Amino acid sequence: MSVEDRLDAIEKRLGKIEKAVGVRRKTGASWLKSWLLTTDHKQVGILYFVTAFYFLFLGGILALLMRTQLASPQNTLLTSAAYNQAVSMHGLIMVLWFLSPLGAAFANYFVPLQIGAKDVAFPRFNAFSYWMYVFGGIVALTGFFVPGGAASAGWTNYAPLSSKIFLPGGGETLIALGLLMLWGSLTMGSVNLIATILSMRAPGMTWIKVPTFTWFTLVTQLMLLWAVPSIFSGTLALIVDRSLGSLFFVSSGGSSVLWDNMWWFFGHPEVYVVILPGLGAAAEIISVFSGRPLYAKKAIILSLVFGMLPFSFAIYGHHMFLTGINALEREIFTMNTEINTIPSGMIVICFAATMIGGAVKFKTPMLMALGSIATFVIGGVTGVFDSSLFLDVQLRGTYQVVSHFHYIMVGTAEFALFGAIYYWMPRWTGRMYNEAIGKLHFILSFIFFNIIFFPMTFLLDMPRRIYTYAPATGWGTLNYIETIGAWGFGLAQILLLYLMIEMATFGKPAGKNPWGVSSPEWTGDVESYVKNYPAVYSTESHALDGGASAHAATPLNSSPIIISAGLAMAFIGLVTSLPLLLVGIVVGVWGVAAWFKDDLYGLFKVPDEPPGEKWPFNHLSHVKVGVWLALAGEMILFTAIIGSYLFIRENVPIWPPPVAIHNIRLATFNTLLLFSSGMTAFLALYSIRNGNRNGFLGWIGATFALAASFLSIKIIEWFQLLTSNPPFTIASGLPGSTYYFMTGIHAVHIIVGLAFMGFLITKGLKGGFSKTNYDAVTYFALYWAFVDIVWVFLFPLLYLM
Amino acid sequence: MGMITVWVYILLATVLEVIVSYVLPNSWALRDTVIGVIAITVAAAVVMFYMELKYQPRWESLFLLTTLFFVCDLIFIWTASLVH
Amino acid sequence: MGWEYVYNLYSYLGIVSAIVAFVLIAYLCVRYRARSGSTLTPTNPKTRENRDANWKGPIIVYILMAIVLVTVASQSFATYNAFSRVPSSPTTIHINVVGHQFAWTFIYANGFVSEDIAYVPANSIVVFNVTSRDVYHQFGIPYFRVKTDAIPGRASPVWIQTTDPGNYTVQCFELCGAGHATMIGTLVVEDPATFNQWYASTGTTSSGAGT
Repeated sequence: MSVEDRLDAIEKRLGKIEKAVGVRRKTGASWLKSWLLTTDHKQVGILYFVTAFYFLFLGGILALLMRTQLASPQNTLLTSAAYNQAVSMHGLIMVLWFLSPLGAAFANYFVPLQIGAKDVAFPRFNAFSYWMYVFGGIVALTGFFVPGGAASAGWTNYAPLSSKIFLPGGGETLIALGLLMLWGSLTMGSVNLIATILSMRAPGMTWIKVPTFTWFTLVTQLMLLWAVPSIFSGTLALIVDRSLGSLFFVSSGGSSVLWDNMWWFFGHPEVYVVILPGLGAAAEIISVFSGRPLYAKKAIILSLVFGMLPFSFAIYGHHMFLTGINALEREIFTMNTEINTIPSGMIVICFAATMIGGAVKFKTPMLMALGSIATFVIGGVTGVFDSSLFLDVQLRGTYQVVSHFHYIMVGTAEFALFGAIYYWMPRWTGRMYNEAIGKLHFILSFIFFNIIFFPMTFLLDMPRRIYTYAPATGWGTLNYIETIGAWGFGLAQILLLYLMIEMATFGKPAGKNPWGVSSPEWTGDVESYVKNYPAVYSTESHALDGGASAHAATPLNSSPIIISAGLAMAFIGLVTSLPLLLVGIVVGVWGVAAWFKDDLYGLFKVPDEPPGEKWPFNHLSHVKVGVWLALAGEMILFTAIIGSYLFIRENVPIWPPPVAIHNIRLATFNTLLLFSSGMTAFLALYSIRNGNRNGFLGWIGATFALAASFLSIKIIEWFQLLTSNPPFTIASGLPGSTYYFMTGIHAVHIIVGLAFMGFLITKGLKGGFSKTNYDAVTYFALYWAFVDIVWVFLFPLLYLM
Repeated sequence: MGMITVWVYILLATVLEVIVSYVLPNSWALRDTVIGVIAITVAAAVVMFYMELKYQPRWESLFLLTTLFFVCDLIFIWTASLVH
Repeated sequence: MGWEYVYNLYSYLGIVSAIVAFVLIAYLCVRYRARSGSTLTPTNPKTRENRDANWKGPIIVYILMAIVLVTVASQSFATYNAFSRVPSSPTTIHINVVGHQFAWTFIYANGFVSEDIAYVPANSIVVFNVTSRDVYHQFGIPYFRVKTDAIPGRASPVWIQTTDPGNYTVQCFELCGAGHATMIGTLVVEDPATFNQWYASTGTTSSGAGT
């Protein structure tokens, strides 16, 4: 067979799989282009799904290595350095590159279908989120190949161990860079999904009727929007520490505790982010396989939104009980943590109560969902031990904690997501799995899972993250048992792999709605769902054709993958090779330019949304809601930065008066320029709104000039500081580090604004804006006013106080 | 009225902050408080007028939502700073 | 009152709660399992009943859980408050502990520096003031159930009441680098007479074993 014939054969086989998962290729596009350049939410969901399993495999290998090393005392399989890399990367990969994205896979595929939307609010950003996730992972994994190995400061990357002083190799920088890309991915994803759920629901899909999985996804994304921007700034500060010598996390001004706060402010909500999508799927599964609608849905939703969502941020201090925070704080965090257990307990009870009056069928999805709830109980109980500030003194840093969070991560999250696979994959592929093997997979996984983690509850004295231990400690027996459990659990997942392949290829045809569910993602019929709410089973017999949706496929676009690849090359190049860095920058900029070009010529067209339910933002388009959400994310980013600055000032009593270092007069003049540019931006918006195109162009031009002047004067300021005697640099102390970091990030926002203005001027010159079409100008004015507000606070903090 | 007055206020308030920073002694908490309050008024002016918030539908919800984020985040960071 | 008391309290309440939850779930599974001929159909009212606004159940759950949690939390606070105050006695020994990669340095009040091993008398109060001179460590003496973070730039106190003479393990509980697993020291509790003799002799020697 010739090469071409072979390629044709591959293409044909892949085409069958594509058809199976409901992917409609854009006419003429090859399968490679169709997948790499997709912006369709279903394809992006499948991409997340497949990629997550690669990371599960990697994280699992690391886990098996660790467990085998620990099986007997003073084992020599791994050196201490290798073990530290394994434990750190295992945690990061499993939490951030496997569990979260697996939830995102289902969210991407099903949320638009569940609410009756055509796609997510911002399809290109959706694809961009995916590629940033993949390439961020690649950047992080490159750490294994650089001198010093991969990140080895734990998944928490505590300072100052994470600094260049103690971990001089490139691996820690690479994980920080990879995480930065992941934070970007998550933030964009949260803006996207929240805007979709807020503004793109079909008519009749009022809030209470929104399916439970979408509700849980909404809460997850709200948590992410609030949590991720703050760790974004922390990670960026870590990168600057490691590459430019700033002192954020290595000085004695409360530095390491600053990282602690920033990390756990994100880290605690993150663990809820990990379990909520699975629990949302479990809610639907329990409902379907009991034949009864969910019990007390309103109470569950209110508990989530007004209980778990705010409280998950008010309890992060329970990871810091031993860091010397004052007693009142510790008591508040204990109390809040225990209060937060109540919504979780309520969820368990309500899920169980759903079965009342039903006819429970114990198919694999149901078994997985029940297993998830059962392990949630155990994990919750062990968690209460850790939340007690008195007991935590003994338990912190021991295997009891490892047991607790694995019961939640693997038990609750992973089992629930496995249940979602069994439940929903037949929807993708139209084929069923072998029920007996599915049940076997559940039983083996459940038994071996408990064998691994239940003994750990009793290892109260064994420290975490040690690569070996002495025989005299007596921990050998339990560790050996746990390792057997680990191998059993790992091997049992081969069954899952087999069943997923079966569902994709040779399984028995399942029909269009094998479970007979009335939820819109199965039937494609939002009207019937809304009319018959809360019916569990479908009275109609029609269902969608294996995954295709009623509308045309969202267009292909190459910018997401190009920008992500460029960024990854630049980041890897930052640590390893200068040429790679330069190539990466060029590629990244090319991708951004392509994106702008598409917008300039209106090349990326998504079908218009029909009017639907949008309460409480009834008159806003989904784009505007998205812009506001993005600004909210930015606001949290800057609050974290300013908050960190206040934290540092509070902990460093002796701070040089700014007037001794900075040219206050120049800075004041510069500030007045910036605030004037805010005025001219507004005048530009006002002009175009009145149809005055020339006025618009004039005022935008003025804004551009003022902004460019601001930037130039800022650069002059920096130059003056750097060449002063003694030089005031980012590495000369905390005043220098904070000053350059904060003005630097602000300057990046100015540069983005300048690019945005370039786009507006170009489009304006082509006559692209008019009295009725000026949305982009509004968004720019909002963004620019926000940049102004940041400076309103930065200026006094840095120059006057 | 509107825009020009607000713009002039923003510029003058900024200059006032600088004057206060020179006039009041550096060690006074009052000094920082006064500057901070002036800054907040400037931010409010930018928000209400440049962001045209007062013309947005349901601007109250949006304003409250983002303000809530901001305030709560500040409270957390402030609590975190009580590490003594 | 003590650590064991609080731990056992949490254990009993935790086990009881878990058993209640499991029994409930198991009961529901058995009682409402699908029997032949009783499968619910799409038109059966049970599959279409609106249960969204059930409040009684959730409120009961809230109240019950709040009672359990307030109980454990209050015991936790009471014990914590009782134990966080360092009892002072004329024979309290104060030792500064400096964790570093990868050992513990003990500095006595008279300036004597001991690496890896701390000698203390039996039946006394010992207060450790813990810090670090490089990265985060965590100073823990499992037998005495005390632990605190060793953070560069700040010092945290923990105290123990020694009883019988013996050797007790001191270990690091926070990942601190390649030597984390071997950052193990010993707390040697000796009878007071032996200790006093030893301590007096340290006053005459200079800095002592290692720094």
